Amino acid sequence: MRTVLWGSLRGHARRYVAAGVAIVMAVAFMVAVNALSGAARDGARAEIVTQYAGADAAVDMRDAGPAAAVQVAEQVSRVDGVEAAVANRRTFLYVGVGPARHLMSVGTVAADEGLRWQEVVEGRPADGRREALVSRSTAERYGVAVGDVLRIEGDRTSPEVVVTGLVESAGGALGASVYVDEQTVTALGDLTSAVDVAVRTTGGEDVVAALADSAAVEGHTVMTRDAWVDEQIRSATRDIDILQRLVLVFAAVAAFVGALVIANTLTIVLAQRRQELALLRCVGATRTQVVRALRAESLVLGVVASAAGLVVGWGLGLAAVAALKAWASDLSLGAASVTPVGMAVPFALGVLVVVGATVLPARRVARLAPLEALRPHETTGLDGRAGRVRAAAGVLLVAAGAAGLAVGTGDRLVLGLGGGMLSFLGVVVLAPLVIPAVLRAVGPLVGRTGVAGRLAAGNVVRNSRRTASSSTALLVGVTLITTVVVGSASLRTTVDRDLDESYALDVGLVASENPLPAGIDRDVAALDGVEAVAVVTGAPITMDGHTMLALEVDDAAAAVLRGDHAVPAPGEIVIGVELSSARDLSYGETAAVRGSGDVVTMRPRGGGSVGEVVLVAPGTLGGLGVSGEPRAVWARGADGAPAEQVMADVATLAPADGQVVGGLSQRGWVALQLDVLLAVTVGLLAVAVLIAAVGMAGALSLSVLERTRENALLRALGLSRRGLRATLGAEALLMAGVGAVLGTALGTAYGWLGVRAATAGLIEDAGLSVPWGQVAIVLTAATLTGLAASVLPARRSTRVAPAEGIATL
Amino acid sequence: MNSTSAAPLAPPASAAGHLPADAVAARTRDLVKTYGRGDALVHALAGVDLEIERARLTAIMGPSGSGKSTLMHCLAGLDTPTSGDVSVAGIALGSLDDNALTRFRREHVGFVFQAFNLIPTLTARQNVLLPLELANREPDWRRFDQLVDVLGLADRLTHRPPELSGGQQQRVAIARALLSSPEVVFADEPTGNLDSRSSAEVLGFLRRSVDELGQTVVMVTHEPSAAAYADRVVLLRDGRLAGTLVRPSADDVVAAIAGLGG
Repeated sequence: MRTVLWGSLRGHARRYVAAGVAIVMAVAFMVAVNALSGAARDGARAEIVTQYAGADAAVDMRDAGPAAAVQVAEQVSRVDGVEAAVANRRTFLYVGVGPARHLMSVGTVAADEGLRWQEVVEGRPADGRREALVSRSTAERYGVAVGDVLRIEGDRTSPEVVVTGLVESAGGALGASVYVDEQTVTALGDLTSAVDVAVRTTGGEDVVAALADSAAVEGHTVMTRDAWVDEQIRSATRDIDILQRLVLVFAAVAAFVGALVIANTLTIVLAQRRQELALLRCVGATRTQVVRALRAESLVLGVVASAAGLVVGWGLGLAAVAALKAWASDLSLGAASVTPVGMAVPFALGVLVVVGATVLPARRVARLAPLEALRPHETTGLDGRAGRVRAAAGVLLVAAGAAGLAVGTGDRLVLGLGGGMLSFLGVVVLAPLVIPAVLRAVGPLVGRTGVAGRLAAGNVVRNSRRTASSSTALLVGVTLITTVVVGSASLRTTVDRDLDESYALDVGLVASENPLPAGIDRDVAALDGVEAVAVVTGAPITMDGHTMLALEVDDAAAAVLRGDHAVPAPGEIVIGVELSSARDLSYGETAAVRGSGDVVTMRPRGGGSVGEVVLVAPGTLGGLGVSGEPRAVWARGADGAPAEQVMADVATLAPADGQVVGGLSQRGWVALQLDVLLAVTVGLLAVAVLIAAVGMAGALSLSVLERTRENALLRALGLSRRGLRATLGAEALLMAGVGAVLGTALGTAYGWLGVRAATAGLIEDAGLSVPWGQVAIVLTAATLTGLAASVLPARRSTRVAPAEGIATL
Repeated sequence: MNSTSAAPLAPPASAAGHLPADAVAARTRDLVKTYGRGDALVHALAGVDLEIERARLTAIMGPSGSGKSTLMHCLAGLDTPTSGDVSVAGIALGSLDDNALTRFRREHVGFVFQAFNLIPTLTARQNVLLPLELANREPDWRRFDQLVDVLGLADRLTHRPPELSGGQQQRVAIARALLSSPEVVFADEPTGNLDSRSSAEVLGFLRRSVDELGQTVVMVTHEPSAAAYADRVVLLRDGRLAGTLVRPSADDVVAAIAGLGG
């Protein structure tokens, strides 16, 4: 069989290109991810090693507070043989740079030169109090220069520090954006968290052993430098491992799509080679020999494509590392590296996917009777037993997948992902039954358009398996894209709605004691980034015995709020989350509310972050016998306004008893995270979409080439060249259209289910949001792609002379 | 007995059962093959008793739908009869499963088809050697050289089928069929796609293989001129034997066919 194998690989290589490319992409994706993770791990490792270069031992302080770390450092430095010790602490704080303030990581500079690991690239090291070093990337981003003064907003104090130098950007255990001396870190209070106490000694291991036994470190673990570095590397790379695993989930999706594409391509290729394989059977090849030959073919394809994938992936990994080093200099990356396992697993998976995808098509071919070689290619419909088995298998897969989707939410996301793949596999299995049925229903409509339409409608239902293969290829791609489009729109809507409930108020000023000065609303409205302003009246009331400020939300005030969750209905009393947490307030079904008159029973409920107040409907205060006065100004931020800046500007207008409230910055932060998340997801899924597109073009053009003879016959029977083109066009439009429409419907469902599964436990009932414009673009683009992919190769077959075409075998 | 040929015409009944056992290469007994069921039931073969003589060229003729191809397919183990027995080289095909049938084909039978005879991705040489390779058997290289020489394929061995003319392709197929010295070579309309010169060439080779190599050849054809190369012509009509001609001329065959009403 070896000659048959090589002969057919040589002869059919071009038909395998699409399938091969799909595998190359999937394998390359996985290898590139592994290479990148390897670089990240190397970078983290190198960084951590540098950070402890001067230390001989370390006391693990990760579970202790900053005060304990300072105390241990002080005691340790008095132990015999210890030259110096530093309490390494880190924190995230707002740092004022001129008029602006930014959230930055703040770390520690050791007073001891031996323990000081920061590498100054400009200026001089910070060695006095109130001096700071700033990482180069941070300095570039926020325009900080040597000599600038930074204001670090601590818990109780906000020390000002002078920037004496810029340092190399660093991550790892101790890396930060801004480094200040030990005393300044201590002054920041409890907001910092301790990492360790790094220790420099005079001597070797015996000093470290003595230190471990000393009372100075009672209750804490002492490790040698090497042990501690190992421990830090482990915890740093653990994060990278998790990230890598998450990204590999997308690689799994890409591989799954690759498997579908390959199974589909092989089905078509083997259908084209039916006669050839039957001839093999005629001249004495057993079924086993034929199946073995096909399996060997797929093995060669899998090995070659996977090997190419390794090379391409490695190249991509190198390129990605180089690009990241150039553009994101604060990332610590080593050289791209892949472990043998990181190579072997994608390679094996690639080979397995190809070989696995051949199992069913090959089995179908093995059933081929030798006589098939002597018969003209006949149409294959699916009915009777094979159809029933297919239907049963498809329904079973869809049902099992649906069950996985139903329970696979929150922590069981993997189940949901598996369910999604399983159910889609079911859809693909059902496609040869469902798609012709749909086409039979739609066909007559197209048939009314003329001869070409009638022929096309007949053609697509006649060879149901071929039609299904072409449509399925499109279905996979369109489903995937629609899933992403609908999923991201739904996620955005869902998160927006959730934000509206949690942060109805963008920014507001509330005066707790006295009426606000007149005209303050105009000042607020004049600020950059403020879109709408409302003055809200209020008065103190008591609820269940607690005194609090109640604000009356009139129409103008409600218009400033986002959503209507925080807007109170008559009889309701909406409690700000700040109030309930500040007063440790609990409330039941009803609340006894009192102004200056009688007690009124109202219905309390939470309203998210609206300040340390309660909200009531207009007229409520009058009913309670108190009169409102201007106590708050509410404002809505303009889209894209710099949240921190707006809130800081509003704060400058606050009166002595005023308080700035609102969720504008949280909203901006969540929106930014969501944007990044969606961009990353779309980027990662793009690989799978690309694979589907390759498969789609491959399947459609293969099925057109398969029909050279059929088309020539139509030409011989008197169909004009133009008529044939019209027929093929109409067919492609029908097949592509059905695939695209079904794919859109499926993708919408998957997108919604995906968002539901991903947000379960975080957000209640995810909303479905279909961006109709984008979906229409996907639908049109897919249909046109299908049209192009089958009409372009068809042009060749229309140019073939009828007699020549019929003779082609 | 509807035959009205002038050539020596043996009665159908004598087509089976009168030859010594070692002179018979293949035999069918009461062979029936039906397709469809109920009203759509078609008898492709309605009880055929036939003996194929060893080292002779037998032609099977008949009008379209007479069952001649089905008869050949059943004889060659490509199709299974509805009832009745087929034996080739003393092997009863009815008792063989698919694998055994495949082995039977590659060991005892050679094929030459009308079209699509060769694997398009293999060279002429690889195509000729294919059945032996499938059987994992070493070819008889002397016979290979002899066949290649006689069939004039020496300078065509490294070519692939698309690079060969129809006659050349058919000659490669004949070489493939003859290489393993099978019990019977079946040729299904071997000249159907060829011009008259190539046809004569191909038929001449088949004839020589019988005369010089003692090969048994069964050929289905509808061309009287092709049938004229045969030692014996078996006529079929409506799935039954309708007569036999021994060493007929083309004119005899034409007359016999006309007598069948085909």
